[in-house]
Amino acid sequence: MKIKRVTLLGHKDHGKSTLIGNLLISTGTATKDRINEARRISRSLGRQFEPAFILDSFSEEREGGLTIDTTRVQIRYKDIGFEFIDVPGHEELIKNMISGASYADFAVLIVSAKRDEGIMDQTKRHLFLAKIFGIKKIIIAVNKMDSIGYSEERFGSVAKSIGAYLEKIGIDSRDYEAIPISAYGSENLVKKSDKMKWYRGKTLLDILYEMGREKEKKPKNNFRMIIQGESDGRYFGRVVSGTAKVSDEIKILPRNDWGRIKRLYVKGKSVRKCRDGDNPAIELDEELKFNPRGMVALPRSEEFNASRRFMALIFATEPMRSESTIKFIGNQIRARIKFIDEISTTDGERKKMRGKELAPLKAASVEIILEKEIPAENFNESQELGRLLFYSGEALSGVGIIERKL
Amino acid sequence: MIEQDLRELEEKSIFIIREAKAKFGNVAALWSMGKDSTAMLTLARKAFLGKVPFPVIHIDNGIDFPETYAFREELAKKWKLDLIVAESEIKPEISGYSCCGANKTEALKRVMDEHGFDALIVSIRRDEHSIRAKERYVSPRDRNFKWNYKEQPAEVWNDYSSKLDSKGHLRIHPLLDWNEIDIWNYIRKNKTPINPLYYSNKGYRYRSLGCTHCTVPIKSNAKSIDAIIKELKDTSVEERSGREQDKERQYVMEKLRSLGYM
Ligand SMILES: Nc1nc2c(ncn2[C@@H]2O[C@H](COP(=O)(O)OP(=O)(O)O)[C@@H](O)[C@H]2O)c(=O)[nH]1
Repeated sequence: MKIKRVTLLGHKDHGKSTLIGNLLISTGTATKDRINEARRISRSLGRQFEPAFILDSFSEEREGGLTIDTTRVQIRYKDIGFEFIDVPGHEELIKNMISGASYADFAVLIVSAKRDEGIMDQTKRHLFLAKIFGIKKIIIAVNKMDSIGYSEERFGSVAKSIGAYLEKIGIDSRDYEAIPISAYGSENLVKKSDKMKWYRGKTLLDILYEMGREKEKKPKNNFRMIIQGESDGRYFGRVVSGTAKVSDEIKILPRNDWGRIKRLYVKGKSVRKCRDGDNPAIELDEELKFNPRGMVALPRSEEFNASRRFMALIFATEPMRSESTIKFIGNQIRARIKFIDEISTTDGERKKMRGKELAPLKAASVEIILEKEIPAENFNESQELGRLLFYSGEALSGVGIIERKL
Repeated sequence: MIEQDLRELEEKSIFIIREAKAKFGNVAALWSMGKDSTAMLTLARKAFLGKVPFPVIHIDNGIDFPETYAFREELAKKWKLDLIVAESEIKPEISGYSCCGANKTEALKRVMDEHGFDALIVSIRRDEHSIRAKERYVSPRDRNFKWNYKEQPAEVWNDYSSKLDSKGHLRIHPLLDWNEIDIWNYIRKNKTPINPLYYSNKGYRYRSLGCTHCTVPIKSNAKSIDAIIKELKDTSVEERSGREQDKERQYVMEKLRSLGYM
């Protein structure tokens, strides 16, 4: 079964655990034992049933006063499996958030409709990062509708303000959708609620399902393989787009050496052809005279210019200065960053940047000048070859995507 | 339990195993002769076209099942494994659920020092326990094997850390994404040899394997891999249940301590 990864964004207490708890119950994923255990805990605390207690992290958290994440949550719906990635809230560092979220296909933003709750700055930053991670679709789940009398108006205003932010940071209105829910009352999660007849859209799971079914619009790219290393005269790598077959001529960038494919292996077996998603081993008619780790293989006939100057969108996790180091498919390269506009990650506004340093949790539009060329592409043409990590010393200082090669 | 797409899982694991080999000077793998680490060796053989290009370590406390030792010898020979047996002694004062941790850790430390390994492939899965939730594909451990989960380097977009303080090592987790049932589907598909203790004998079988002291069998009539898979599909019981509640809690606390939580 195909698994789609869904990152859950949202501020503490806006209802993430309750949502997951009730999804686990309504889809029949949670075992009876689990549900009974959650009942018992709720009762012993003198509370109404809390679906959030289904998540098994709870007992351990209480025991040691620790916060441990939940076990991975996978929910099957029809023929798709959804894996929910809980993202640590404000109390944990943003680097832990990006580690989980960078693998996600979709994001569900949970925001409480209560007047004193509403969307928080950190949640907006997470949405900004969702754009950098290339997360394809976002669902805005406006929660706790029960506590505001299921008001269509309040829903509309919460959804509208978040929508305005998303559009400001360049997320197309076709790529997000808002839904009113009550996580606690399981309304509009798996079954349509009869308390919000004014809402004509689908349930949360149905929206996710539809997104999961949609064929990925991958740009049609030629063969690209990121080379991992060499062993016994064979080159290992990961095909990120296109196909290659025995007797094709490939060149290795940025070196520009080339060779003809003599043998190909996928999953240890000799094959004629490899494709997107494979991790083949390739034998060339002649061995390369260098270690190609971190280089990219592509068709010899293709005109492709490696470059050293890019326009990029970056997000700082630590202070970023003009003198920096980037990491591109595993290679560290010295870089100079020319800051152009600072982009607010809480309201999307741009303003000219004067300073020479980008503070943590801020974003900027920049020009990057590298010490040497890399075989990168624009992010919208190739996610894998269009993203950059920034380092200061050993620690990650930021993430970015290439908007335009110069 | 969700059965995931094997191609995706397999390709990612192959990528991680190769990354470990390409990136770190001196890699070894833990092999308990159980289903997970044996599946991992199957993946390594595919990644490196038929051979396992790193030593495999069995931490042997002398009280594994006879079937396990026989299986070790047979497979080591068949797959030409570079097997390192690290003998660990069972200290009588350390017993119960601290046994696995304390007694085995010493032996592993010794073997890591002796051979100078800087990376260790460990076949844990995220669905085993909530403790695993914060694990990364590549995760640093300090000299005392402690895991400082709060200070882990970020792991973004298949870019794995190689940060290593001089005396620590890195744990590599190629099977992190797999579910228990995926392992069995994979073993079935690839005809991976398997420890016979997983099959039912007189109405009982082992679902996860440890040494003779604390491994308990479950009630089962599954005598083939197909039957095991069917059983898993029907069960709502978790892999590590069957242990009594307080023992389970004790286990968890021990585990947390050994991971450096407390
Ligand atoms: N009225 C109402 N309360 C909710 C709803 N969903 C969650 N809550 C409550 O909000 C509080 C925080 O929820 P929780 O799921 O723990 O939030 P998390 O921190 O985002 O995981 C709990 O007391 C829940 O019972 C809802 O739909 N309506």
